[in-house]
Amino acid sequence: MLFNSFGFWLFFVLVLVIYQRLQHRGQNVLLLVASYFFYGCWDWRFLGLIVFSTFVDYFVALGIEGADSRRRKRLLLLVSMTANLGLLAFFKYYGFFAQELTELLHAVGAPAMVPTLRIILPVGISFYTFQTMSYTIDVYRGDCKAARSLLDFAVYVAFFPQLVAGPIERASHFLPQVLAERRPTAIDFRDGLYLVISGMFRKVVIADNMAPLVNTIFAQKAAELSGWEVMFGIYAFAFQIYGDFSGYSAIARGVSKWLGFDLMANFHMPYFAVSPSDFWRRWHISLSQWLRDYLYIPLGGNRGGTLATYRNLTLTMLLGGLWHGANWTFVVWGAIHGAMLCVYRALGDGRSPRAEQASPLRRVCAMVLMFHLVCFAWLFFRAESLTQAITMLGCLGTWGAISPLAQTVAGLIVFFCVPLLALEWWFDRHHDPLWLTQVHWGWRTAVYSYLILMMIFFPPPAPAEFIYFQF
Amino acid sequence: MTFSSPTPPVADDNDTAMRTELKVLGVLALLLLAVEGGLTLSEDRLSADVHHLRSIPSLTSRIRNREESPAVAMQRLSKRSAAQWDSDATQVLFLTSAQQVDQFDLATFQRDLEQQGNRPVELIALHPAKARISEWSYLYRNFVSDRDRAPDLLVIGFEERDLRDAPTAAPSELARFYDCRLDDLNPLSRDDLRSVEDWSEFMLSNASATFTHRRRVEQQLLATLIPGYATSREQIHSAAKPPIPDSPVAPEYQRLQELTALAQRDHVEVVLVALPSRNQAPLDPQLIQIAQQSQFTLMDCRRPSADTPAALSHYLATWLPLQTLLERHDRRLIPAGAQDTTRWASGDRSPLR
Repeated sequence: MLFNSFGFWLFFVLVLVIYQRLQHRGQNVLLLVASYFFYGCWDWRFLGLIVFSTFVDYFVALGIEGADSRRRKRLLLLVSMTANLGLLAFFKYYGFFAQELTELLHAVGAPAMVPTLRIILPVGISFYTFQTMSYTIDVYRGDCKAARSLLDFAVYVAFFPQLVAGPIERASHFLPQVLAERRPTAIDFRDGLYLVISGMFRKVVIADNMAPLVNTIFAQKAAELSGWEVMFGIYAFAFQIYGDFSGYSAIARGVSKWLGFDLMANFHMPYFAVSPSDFWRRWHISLSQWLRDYLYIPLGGNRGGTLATYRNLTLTMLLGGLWHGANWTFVVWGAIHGAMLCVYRALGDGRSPRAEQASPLRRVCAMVLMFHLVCFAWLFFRAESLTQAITMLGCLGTWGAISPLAQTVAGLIVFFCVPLLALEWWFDRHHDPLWLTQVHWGWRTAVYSYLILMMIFFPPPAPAEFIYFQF
Repeated sequence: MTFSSPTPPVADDNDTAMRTELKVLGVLALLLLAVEGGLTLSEDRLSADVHHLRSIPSLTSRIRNREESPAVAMQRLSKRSAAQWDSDATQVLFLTSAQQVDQFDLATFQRDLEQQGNRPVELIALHPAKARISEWSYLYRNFVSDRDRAPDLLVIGFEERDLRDAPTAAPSELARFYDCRLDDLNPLSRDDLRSVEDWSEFMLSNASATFTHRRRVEQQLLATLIPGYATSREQIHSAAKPPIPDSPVAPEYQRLQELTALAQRDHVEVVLVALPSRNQAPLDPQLIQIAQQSQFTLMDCRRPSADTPAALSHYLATWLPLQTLLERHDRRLIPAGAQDTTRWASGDRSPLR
């Protein structure tokens, strides 16, 4: 059930109507049933994994809180980590590592005895396992209290708006909302309306209209592409993935607002970033904060000297890349971002906010540069293989005349994405992603009219699944 | 209303916020109503296809009432054959798609049919864009059979997989132009609208011209605004569609059988014509078997010795066994009179068998 489907909205209206008539406990029961139904629409067989993860972390967290020795707490934490990472490793990475090991053994002439399995990747497994792990770690660290009610905890794990593609919510932020009485206000309705309309626009108009352009270019033989086609193809992918993921996150936040929940913001106009660290403060914020708090800082962060900091940055970004999927292209994508962060830090900008405080012209130059560096990394992220990515990079040396395809891709990027960027520029100037909800209603009506008419009159050739479901 | 510049954020009061959002939604609703009104009034001008779809009721109203059909009249009178019934023209209902009809010169086709049959022919051609068996079924059922009309001949010009059972590609069009109503619920739910998405699209299109025509508006605007779009549109759109897998399961023709059964019940002679295509594969054996069992004429014209619309029309008219069909049309009223008339117009050019 996709957010951009009629089926989802029928489902949501039904849930919302019943939800409004229930008391707090009834609301939580309804949310749990609706969440399991929502997930079961993809593949009910994998509901067992969510239930398993919920049970393990619920009881482990209670055990950690009740344990009287540090050793016992650590042991229980290890149980949770093993269960969650074990699920992730088996379903997401086993096939990749088994295949790589088999090829390595073949290369050295050894018999390959590694069984290879064709395993279906459960939707959203990376999101909910990271969410439940963060809960257990927070309880272990004493940053949050263990949930007493299994029902409340199960709602925290399976809350349908953010179950399959985040944001990865922290228990300290989300659990209190599950426990408290919720009565959505008119302001929640207003903010939710903005988030849903803008999210749908980004998904339906931007992402799904960019998708066929990207697919056309990446489906061609790399050697036959011109530099223009490759360049515009990567730009199109940059907007596709941004529209797709930020659109999903915005809709998730919007429908949550209507249910009386406040999810964390996952994106903050990332293509206006002026540096690599600024980019990661704006892109997939819930993951970058998770990686910072549960990986980078425990590794030592920037406390162990320059080389250790570089090592920690690179390791964090490599694992961040691998989190997206079991493929070398994602590892390289992570490595490029790690290298960018290290270089930025080595140049001295990592310690001072110079780029952020620079003159407007310098800021624009920094944004353009940063956008192209991010696009360079996107090429590896989108390519089917490293070979394809490298061959396409090679095409950037051959320019020549602009083909009709390149003209179309460029024209469609300008037509669809430039108004979005202009709108975001306006919000960014006011440092408030919800700025539109604060201005005169006439402005809001004008913007909504544009967004809705674009959604009606520029439907994509075929609706596409959200890219991040596969992660 | 004045809003020259954004006002600074102010503290929100819940009631004020709700009233303001209702104003926003109200204006949006008015805007959408205005767009709907505009599109409803001007939909005929959107594309040639919409114009054609809109003209279907008037085109099909030319088809004779079933009681007036020469064959039925002959049955009633039991004296004159349809061929002798020359006070009226032979009515040929030609169903195909806009993509296929572009290969034809319909005037030449009609003139050559007249010459071949030695009698006046009235050709009624319905050719909506991307139409295939689902659309042709609804066209015949809702505009011809359900309205007690019956042409003498129903010619269906198809290409490749057009006759195989498959859901419609455009639920919007079915809702708006094919007069699908409650009595079509069975084929709709069984064959065409298989998901909540299909039903939602169908219902919305039934209610809204804006929704039905959104892709037409999109195509026109993008073709006007984006350089190179007209050239690369097909390439881009084909990348958006999942490839049709070659199913190991034998293709089914239930809808075709239903359509031909309905036509034969109405005493209409059915001719299926495989039109020129790049596909050189043999016709599905299931289709040939059904043609033999159901006793309608199947013509394979995929490799014509003609390369212009006029030549192709002449070729098809020549190969369409009009006289034989009309005789058969008369004989159909006699149970043992029907014959197996599969005709091959390409390849070995063997005669009727």
